[in-house]
Amino acid sequence: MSQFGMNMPGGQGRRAAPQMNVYTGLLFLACVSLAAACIYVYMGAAKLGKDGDPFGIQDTKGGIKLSK
Amino acid sequence: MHIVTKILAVFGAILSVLLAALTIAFASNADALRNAVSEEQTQKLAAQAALSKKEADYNGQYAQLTKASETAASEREAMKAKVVSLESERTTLAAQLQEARLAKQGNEDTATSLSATVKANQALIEALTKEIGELRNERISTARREAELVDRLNDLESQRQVLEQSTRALQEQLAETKLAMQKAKDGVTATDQPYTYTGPLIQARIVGLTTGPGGDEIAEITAGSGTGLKPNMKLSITRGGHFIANLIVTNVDAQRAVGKVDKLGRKDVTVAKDDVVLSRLD
Repeated sequence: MSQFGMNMPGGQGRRAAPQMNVYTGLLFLACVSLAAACIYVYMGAAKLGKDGDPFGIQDTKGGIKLSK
Repeated sequence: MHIVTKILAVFGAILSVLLAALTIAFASNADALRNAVSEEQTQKLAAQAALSKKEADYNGQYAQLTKASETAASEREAMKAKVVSLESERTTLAAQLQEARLAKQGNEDTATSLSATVKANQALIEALTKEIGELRNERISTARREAELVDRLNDLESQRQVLEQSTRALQEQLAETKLAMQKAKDGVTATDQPYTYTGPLIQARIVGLTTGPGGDEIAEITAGSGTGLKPNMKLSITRGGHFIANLIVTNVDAQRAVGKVDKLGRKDVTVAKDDVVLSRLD
C-alpha cells in the first residue's frame, strides 16, 4: 500500500522498522528445545525403527527387524 | 514482526512437525516391540513348560535307562561269573576228555593183549580139558579102587572090634575068675568087701565132689559100667603120678560112677576135681 503514498488514508505516516522483542527470544528458545528433542527422539527412533530407519514402522506380523 | 522472529517461527513449526513424525514412529515401534516382547515371553513360558515336561520325561527315561544299565551290569557280572565257571568246567571236561582218550588207548592195548591172552588160554584150556579128561578117568578108577579098599578096611575094622570085645570079655572073665580064686584062697565069703580090680587098666577123672550123710566124701568119676566098673571096686586117686587116696565104688551107671573117698586116715590130703582115677598103680 505504500505505492500510493499520502493519497491513501492512513498513508501519511511512515511506520518504524520492526525490532526483535521478547517473543523472538522465546521462539529461539523453543527452536533450540525442539531441535534437541528432535535429535534425541531421532536417535531413539533409529534404534526402534525398521532396519534402523527412524521413520520406518515395524510389521508386527512379519517380525521385528532392528538395526544391527 | 522482525524477520528473525518469522524465521524462528517457521523453524519451530518445521521442527514440531518433524518431532511429531518421529514421536509417532517411535511410539508405534515401541508398542510393536512391547507386543513382540510379550509374545516372546509367552512363547518362552510355553517353551519352558515344554522343556520342563521334556526334562521330566528325560529324567524318567534316564531313571529307566539307569535301572536298565544297572540290571545289564549285574547281568554282565553274572555272565562273567558264568563264563568263568564255564571256562573251569571246559578245562575240567578237556582234562577228562584227555584222560578218557588215554584210558581208551590203554583199553585198546589191554584188549589187544587180552585177545592174545585169550588165544593162549584157549589153547591151554583145550590142553587142560584133554588132561582133565584123562585125570577124570584115572580118578574114577582110583575112586573105584579106593571104595573097594574102604570096604575091605571096614570089614577088617569090624572084625577087629569083634575080636577086641571078645578079648575084653575073656579078660573080664579071667579077672572074675582070679578074684573068685583069691577070695577062695583068702577064705572071704562076703561079697560086699572092696577089692582091687586086676583086669585091664581103667582110667577116669573126678568131675564132682560132695559130702555124704555120714560125713564121708563122695566123688563122681567119668567111667561107668561101660568100661568095666562094678560096685566095691577099689580104685586109686592120683595127682601128678602120686597116690593120694583110694576110691571105693558104690554106685555104677553106664557112663558115670560114684564112690567114697578113703584117705587112709590122713587129714592133710585133699581130693579135687580133675584128679586122675586108676584101677591099679603100675
